[in-house]
Amino acid sequence: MENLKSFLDLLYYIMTIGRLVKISVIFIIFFVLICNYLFHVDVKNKCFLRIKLSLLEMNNTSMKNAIKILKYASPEDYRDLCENVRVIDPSIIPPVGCPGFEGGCFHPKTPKVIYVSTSQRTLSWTASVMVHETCHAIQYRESRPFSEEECYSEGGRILEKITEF
Amino acid sequence: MMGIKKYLKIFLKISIITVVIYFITGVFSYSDITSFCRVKIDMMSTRTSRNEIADAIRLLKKNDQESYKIFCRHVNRVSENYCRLSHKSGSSAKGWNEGGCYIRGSKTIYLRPNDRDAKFTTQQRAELLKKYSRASKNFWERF
Repeated sequence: MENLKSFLDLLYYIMTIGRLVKISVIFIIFFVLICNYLFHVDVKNKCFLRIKLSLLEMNNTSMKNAIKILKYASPEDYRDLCENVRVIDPSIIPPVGCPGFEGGCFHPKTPKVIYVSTSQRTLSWTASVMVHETCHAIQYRESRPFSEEECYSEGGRILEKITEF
Repeated sequence: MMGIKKYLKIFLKISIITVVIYFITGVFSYSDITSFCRVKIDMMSTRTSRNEIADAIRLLKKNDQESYKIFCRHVNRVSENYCRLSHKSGSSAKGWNEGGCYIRGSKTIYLRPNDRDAKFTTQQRAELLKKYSRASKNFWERF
């Protein structure tokens, strides 16, 4: 009888532990998925980027794919992005004074942030806007004049580089 | 006996949910279970239907199995989109009039939408998919 009681106690203990393990695993999976959606982490290349949540377009995946394009197709531009930017904000409503839809924005008040408000369907364009806005971030860091011509040229350059006919 | 019934019910529920999710997401994709092929199709306009692009993929499968395998392995998205090479848009912009392109660093192919300047047959689209899936293969083989 006592043995049976001990066995039942042990069984109950194992079931409780099992439940805790299940909950922990679900929590860890959920946490990893969220982090994957909101961050770009590349330890080897020392690149840590936060991607703010875009509720209107839900296009964080587009941002991540565009970063991946730069990483593999244009490592130099990827390096510039990683060195000069900390946050990518895909919000369609950037700060006042910044143009929005299907474009991008850089504001000197937030020099480590670029605003990339492109839609989910335009992957190559998203990469181009990232390079364009990073160009402005570099101009700011180097205290150079704010030149749209230079950065449009950079955006065009990356489009030609990543597009294969 | 009760335990087995309970687990069977859970398994059945999970299977039904999985099948439903698969079919819902399949509305926006081309799926071929037999070849383990699943490619998302993004549409830009109403002039070309998702079925037209799916038909081009099926034609590729019918005519060229080798290229179809390359397509399934190296392409995960076909977007109906113009291949822009500058911030300008419209038919005077570089790349705008091309039938399609491959975006390096991704597994995405762009196919130009049908518009008043150009209409593509299923065969033409299949040829473009064949060409650009090889471009994707050649790119990713370097890594």
